[in-house]
Amino acid sequence: MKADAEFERFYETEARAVFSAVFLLCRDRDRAEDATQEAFARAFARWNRLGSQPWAAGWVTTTALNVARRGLRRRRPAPETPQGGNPTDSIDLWASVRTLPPRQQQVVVLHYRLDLPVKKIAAILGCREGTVRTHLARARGVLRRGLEGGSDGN
Amino acid sequence: MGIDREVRSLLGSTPPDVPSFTSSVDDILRRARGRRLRRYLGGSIAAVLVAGGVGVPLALLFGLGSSAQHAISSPSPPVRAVPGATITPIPSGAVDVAIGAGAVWVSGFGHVTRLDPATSEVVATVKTPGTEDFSQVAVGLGGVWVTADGGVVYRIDPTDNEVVAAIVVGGAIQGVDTGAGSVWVTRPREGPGELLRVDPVTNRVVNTIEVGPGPGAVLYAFGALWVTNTSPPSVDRVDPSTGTVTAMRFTGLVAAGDDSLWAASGDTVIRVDPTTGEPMATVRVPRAQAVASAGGRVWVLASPESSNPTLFYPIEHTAALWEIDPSTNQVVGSPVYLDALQPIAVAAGDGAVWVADYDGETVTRFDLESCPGSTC
Repeated sequence: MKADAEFERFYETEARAVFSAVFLLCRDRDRAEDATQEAFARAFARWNRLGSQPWAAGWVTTTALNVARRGLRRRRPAPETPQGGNPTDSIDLWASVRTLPPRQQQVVVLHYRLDLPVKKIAAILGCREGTVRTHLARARGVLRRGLEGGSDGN
Repeated sequence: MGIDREVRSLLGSTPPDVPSFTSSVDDILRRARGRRLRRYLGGSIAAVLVAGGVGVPLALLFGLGSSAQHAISSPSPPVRAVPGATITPIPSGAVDVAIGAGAVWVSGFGHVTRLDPATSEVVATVKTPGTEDFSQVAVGLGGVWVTADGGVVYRIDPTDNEVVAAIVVGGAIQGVDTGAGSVWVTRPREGPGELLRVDPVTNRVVNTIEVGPGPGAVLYAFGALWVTNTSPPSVDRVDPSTGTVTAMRFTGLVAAGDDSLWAASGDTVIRVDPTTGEPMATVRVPRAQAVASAGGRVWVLASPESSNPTLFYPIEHTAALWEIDPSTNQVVGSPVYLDALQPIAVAAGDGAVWVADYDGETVTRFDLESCPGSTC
């Protein structure tokens, strides 16, 4: 079994970003790596249909997030926060993202991390663009409070 | 504008504590090969179960547990363009599908998804913690009911898409339906299984009826409950007023339509007289898995073909949707081949047939106006 060059290029370009997004939400390296592998394996299995889609990276990211989330219920809970180190502002904000409902988490990752427009996110998640905007608005409200809380705390 | 830019800036950058990702593309290929092997082996056991007549629900569950994915390298015919077919991704997964209360309801992992029956768009996602591979969904008595882990039956109010009750009946429950003023839930256990009667007013179990081993799906139709058991395969008819259980002489996953029961089993669909429980006709449909009926039309969901004569190794684009004409008990035209490796449930109503695909996490809507059976 050989990966075609296009899939390999896609993997090299996107895998790190997908893994990072999953890790930042689940805070468990093994789970994030497992979910990322699983998502790309699924992508490979349907590459003839997925490869031409402009939202392929979003599809893989969403799939990886779902796989990680499902695994979360069956396995021991991951540590909520990293041990040691110096948390940065972005880590604090990811902590806020982790408190969001799963769909809002997905929308936030797709929009802010993968920089996908609302229309593409709606296509990936199978919902209306208005629904995506609603999720984003609600998520922003939580993240705003998270940022304000972080500022107050500092 | 400020918050948006700030969030983008903070979330767009990768914090330094994110570990490195070390998997290579070869790891992905190994995983793909491993999955194919698991599918091959897991599927072989499922095939033995099916061949031994253990029944569709158990076989499906076994397949689901073996990490079902698309076949990878099997050459397959191109999917025909199906007019009037709409595929909707269901991010929380598609396990069962039911129609009612002006919507289509799909049970998935931790959520029930509500679709617009006319457009197939997702209009709501209801959080139902503990709904899993086995969770079945039913609509009736003013609620949407879904079975979940821990013996929980969720009751969803379709007017506002909110869970209004989490009824704990305990055990590894599976099937659910409504009828005779009650909610009915199957509960497999060691030995004979149980059919639980839940009062929708008090949300409490008011009766427990012993049925055959391994009860899965339950259907209320023609004034009775029809329980499909899986270990070994059998169908029980349960009188809701007396609790009397009568073993039927047919097996399979049961649906109701056109004044008859229809049971999908093996390579046949059996039409049954609901008053006598006697088979009236047998229609040959390869790999018949489940039946749905609406508007005088009967639809049969067929499992994918296997590339191995003794092992179950599903081939892409061989799962199919067949139509039976109930006036002749004959198959209508040619089947519609599905772009799905693990179609798991079918429902019909509101001018459409709906197929849930567990593997692809999608629901496909076939519009009956633009997609009549013989021309799909």
